[in-house]
Amino acid sequence: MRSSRGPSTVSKKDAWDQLQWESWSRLMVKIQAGDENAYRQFLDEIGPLLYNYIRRRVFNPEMVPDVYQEVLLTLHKARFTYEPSRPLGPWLFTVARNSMLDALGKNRKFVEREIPTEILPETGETERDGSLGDELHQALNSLSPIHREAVEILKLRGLSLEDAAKELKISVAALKVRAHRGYEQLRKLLSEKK
Amino acid sequence: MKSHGAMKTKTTPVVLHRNLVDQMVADVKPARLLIRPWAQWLLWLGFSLLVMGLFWMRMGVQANLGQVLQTMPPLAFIVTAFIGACLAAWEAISSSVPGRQTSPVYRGFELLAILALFAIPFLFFAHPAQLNLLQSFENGHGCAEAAGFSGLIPWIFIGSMLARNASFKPVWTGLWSGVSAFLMGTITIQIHCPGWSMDHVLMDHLLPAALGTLVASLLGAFWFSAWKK
Repeated sequence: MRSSRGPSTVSKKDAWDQLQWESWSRLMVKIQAGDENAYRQFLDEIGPLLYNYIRRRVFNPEMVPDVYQEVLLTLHKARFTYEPSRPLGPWLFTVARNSMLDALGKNRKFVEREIPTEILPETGETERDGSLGDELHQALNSLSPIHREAVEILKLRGLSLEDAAKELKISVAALKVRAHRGYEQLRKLLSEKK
Repeated sequence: MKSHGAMKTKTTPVVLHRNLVDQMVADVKPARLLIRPWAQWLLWLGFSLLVMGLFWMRMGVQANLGQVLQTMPPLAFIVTAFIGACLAAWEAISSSVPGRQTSPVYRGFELLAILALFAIPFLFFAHPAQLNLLQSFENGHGCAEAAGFSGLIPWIFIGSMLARNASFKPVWTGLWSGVSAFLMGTITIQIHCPGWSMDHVLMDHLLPAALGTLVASLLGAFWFSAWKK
């Protein structure tokens, strides 16, 4: 089964690097003055960060491009509200988060019922009868705590391997093993029910 | 930039990003400057005090104001209303500037000030022998009108500033802009009117603020979201 979440192109550590943020902050000042080159550079640099930010929060991969468009367009409209004397990060993520929620709000019903595709069996049967959500939750609850934790943090909360490992206070390799075993158990449980 | 919908395309992320960047860069021009939030707050305060002063010049203030304000309940009421209005104005402004949102502690304190304001008449002001709120409203509707009108002008002023910001929660922004402006109206009328009984203050001085806030929230939903269109 194809995974829609690859490794981050910009890690969180890099993104929060102070120098990088200061550089983006300076670009924002130029953007507010109408500098096209600065705007292009800013969007090219910030684009992957925002795309990953959205991808980790929107379960349905098909919706990510639409949400990304909304976020960038809102960023464009709100660019004058950035105050150069203040840090860029809180401003940027407030705009991104709220415009993402606005975009998802239009598809709230669809989003709330969305299930990560990575752990669905490749069949239309369960999707048609609409019982997959309950089955999936039951299967998740049947997993051992450490495996369930690994699956949930990676697939439901959408954290990167590095961030998830940090939060669980284990190594990335150990997390990969736990997650792998969790997926195997889930597959087995779901196919047994089927 | 052309219309929002016209820019939407279904394509791969890289091409999508490239197309968006091309269109956004083509549209970039010097952005209008944001009035600093604290400057907006000071402008609101200055304008509200000016409106208050004009109303007092026209209507006059109660004859024994000096004596009244030396007693604790009226002074507490005026001061609480003023603090509530100032906090609410900052909440309205900060909710309309991304990255400026207030902390839960701030909002808790703000809510506490509003609750205290409504509690003061119940706890400390004279209660009528027979409580008839409708009768109180009929008798003192002149106060209610003046309170509403003297709040409306500051609200239009703060609203015109907030509409130039970028609120993601327009109803919330509208709500607190209403609280800030109409509490100033309450103070205006409270300084003018010698009636300090519980029913009169509630129905003719505070009710207009509550109703004005409700209307401000509803109107704010449209006015303060216009920047997205």
